[in-house]
Amino acid sequence: MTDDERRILPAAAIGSIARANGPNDFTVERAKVPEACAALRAAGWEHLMLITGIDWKTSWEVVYHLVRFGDRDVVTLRARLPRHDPVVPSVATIWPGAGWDERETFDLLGIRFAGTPDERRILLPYDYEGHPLRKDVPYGNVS
Amino acid sequence: METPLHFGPQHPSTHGVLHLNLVIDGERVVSCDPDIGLIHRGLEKIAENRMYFKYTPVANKIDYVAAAAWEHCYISAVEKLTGIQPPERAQWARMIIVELQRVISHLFWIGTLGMDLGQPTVFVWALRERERLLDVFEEIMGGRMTFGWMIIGGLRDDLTPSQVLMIRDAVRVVRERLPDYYHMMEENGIFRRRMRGVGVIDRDQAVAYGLTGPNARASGVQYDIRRDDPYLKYGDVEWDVITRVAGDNEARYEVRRDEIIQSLRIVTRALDRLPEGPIRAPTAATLHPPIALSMRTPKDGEALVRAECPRGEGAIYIRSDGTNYPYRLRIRGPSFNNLSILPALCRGMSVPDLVATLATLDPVFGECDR
Repeated sequence: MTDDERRILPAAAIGSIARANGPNDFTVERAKVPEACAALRAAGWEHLMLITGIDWKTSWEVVYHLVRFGDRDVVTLRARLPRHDPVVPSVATIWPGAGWDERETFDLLGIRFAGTPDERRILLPYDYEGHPLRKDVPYGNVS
Repeated sequence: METPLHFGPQHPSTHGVLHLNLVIDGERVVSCDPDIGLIHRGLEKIAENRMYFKYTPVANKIDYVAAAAWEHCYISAVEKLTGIQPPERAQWARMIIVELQRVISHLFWIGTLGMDLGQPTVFVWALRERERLLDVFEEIMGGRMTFGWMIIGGLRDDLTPSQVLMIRDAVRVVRERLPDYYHMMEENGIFRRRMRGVGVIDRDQAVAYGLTGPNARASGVQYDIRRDDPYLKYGDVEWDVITRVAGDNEARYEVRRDEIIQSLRIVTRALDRLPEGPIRAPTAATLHPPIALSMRTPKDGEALVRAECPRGEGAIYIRSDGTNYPYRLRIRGPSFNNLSILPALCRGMSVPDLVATLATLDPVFGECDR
């Protein structure tokens, strides 16, 4: 990512982006996630590689990794969610394939993606209760 | 008349434990709802409860058809996190093994494709050659399917000169026999009809659904991590990225077919250039991982490593909190994303075409369900 691109794209598209860990690492207000993703996709970061949810015990974090074909740099977008309200807007309108990643993150961590086309679980049985990847779920046998 | 049909999870052509809830009208697929996760093992939860060096055998089981590819992916993620650089010889040797693993995986895929299209002969042939390479793996790494040969900072065992000869021999045999398969498959009318123009994915769709690897390259996406973000020694040897634009089953077949040749080419060149030297980094982490690794993991650090696995872009993302255990480990299984296009793709297709399309998408459910 060149300095020009860095200045033009996220800053012009979204006011609330601040660098988190490095030059290609941005923290976004959660309501602005789809807007930031759309801006990045339009600027060539057209491959949504990974959606990761993290349970920080007092809050939640959702991390998006975006890739531009032929480029070494991976752009990271992060959003923090309050503990009591793990909801973030869906990006499935930008990448239809993101729907499955969002279902998986909901399934395992209980982070909801508002507006995602399919809100069912994906890996665990549909009638499973709880979200096993949360830190308050003990590791071990499930009875 | 619309009829619900359960396709799998025990059907032989579902490539493992895939359950499709199909609605069919005669031979046509009206809708398809994949039910995955039947072998979900909670690999990400297991990672949070294991010391870094104890996760290697688990990482092998992410994709059990291409275990070495994931072993490399996981080990290099930990190396990136802890700042350990494996020595030159180890990097070249890893590349040889990872590429042989790609050949094994693609051979297995060609075999199952033949089986799905009613050609068990190809299956038997492909497994015969795969067997030859598995013997090489057994000789070098002590295992046929899962290994634990790479360690954080290097390799467990060195490649001996006799093993190098064994690899060369196996590569020669596979290369000689590959044309037989091509004739067997491509000169068959049934094969052609199930392949050409069936299951077409255009470039926009491939990108929108996060397809990677041979599936994306068959649709004209110029994306191969070995070239775009060279890891190991891919930047130092000469090889070609195979792409097609048609995006149909035949294109996916051709991409994998030609990738076998390229992988064998990489292996041969790497064997020629394999340098002498140590196989482990001279740090305490390679001698006594439990204590030494915890001293190296950053308090609030992270590492993202992506690698070109046989089925597409595999990635491991680790968040550390300065202890011996990852705080969060996320695995990107390319089969999962490759399969997400299936409901959109198979609408209106006939059931036999669906079987062929599923075969060319090449999902492995260890990787998909994790």
